[in-house]
Amino acid sequence: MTLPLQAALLFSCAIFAIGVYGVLVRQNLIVILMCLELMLNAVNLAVVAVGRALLPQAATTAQANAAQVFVLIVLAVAAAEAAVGLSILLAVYRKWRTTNAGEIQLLKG
Amino acid sequence: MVSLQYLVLRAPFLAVIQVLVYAGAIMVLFLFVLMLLNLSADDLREDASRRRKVVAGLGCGALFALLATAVMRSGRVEELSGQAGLTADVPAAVAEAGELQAIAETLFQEHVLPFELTSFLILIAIVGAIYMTKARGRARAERSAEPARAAEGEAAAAPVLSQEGRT
Repeated sequence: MTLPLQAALLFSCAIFAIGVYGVLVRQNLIVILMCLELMLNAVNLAVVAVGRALLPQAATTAQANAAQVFVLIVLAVAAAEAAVGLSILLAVYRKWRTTNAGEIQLLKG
Repeated sequence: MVSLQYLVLRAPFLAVIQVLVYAGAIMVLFLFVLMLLNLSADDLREDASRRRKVVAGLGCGALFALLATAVMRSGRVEELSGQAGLTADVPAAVAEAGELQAIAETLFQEHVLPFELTSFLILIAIVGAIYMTKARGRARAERSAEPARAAEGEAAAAPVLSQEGRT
């Protein structure tokens, strides 16, 4: 059974589109953050898929691993982003007593 | 699901890390915040209009169609995929790619600087997160102490109160 590169890329496109839909439609900040994570994962998946497709052309292991190391670092950045996003969410909730993005209309703290 | 896809793509280490980071760290973080917020069903009520859902759905469908046509029509992707696609045989020289030892060697020999920068970024994120939660807590404590002070000021003299209000 062969798996074309297009299939993997279409899968990550689908995940990305679902993430965008979630960000646009949902109003709960927690769900919006989750959908952001979803979009980030979709892009990671595409990077790894292309890295796998480039594998037959790689001369050294370092070249072959470049995509995966990149994704590893993006994962760490995603974890940091989630921590900061959630702490902002906590601060916003303490200030306005809501997690609804539609009700938060001031940038002023 | 993403983790399974990583396994398919010859990235066993990333598959494990994905589960560890997302199930172990990020989901726990989300659950902690949910617990701290203590939301009621009323807070979670969403009034997204039907029209908005339809428009967003159409927009995302269009986005997906755009990305999909870009992927399907791209000659470069076709060329990369080749005959065997993602199940093609790999040269013996890079057969180890994606396994823990190979990744560690690449990460600590070629990409040490990004790795160190990432650790610095995480440090900043930790400090930022603690500051965000701590500073707000202190402000709230001051605010709750203020009415008491204001009441004292009222009892003492009016000018003191106005001075307090200015600061």
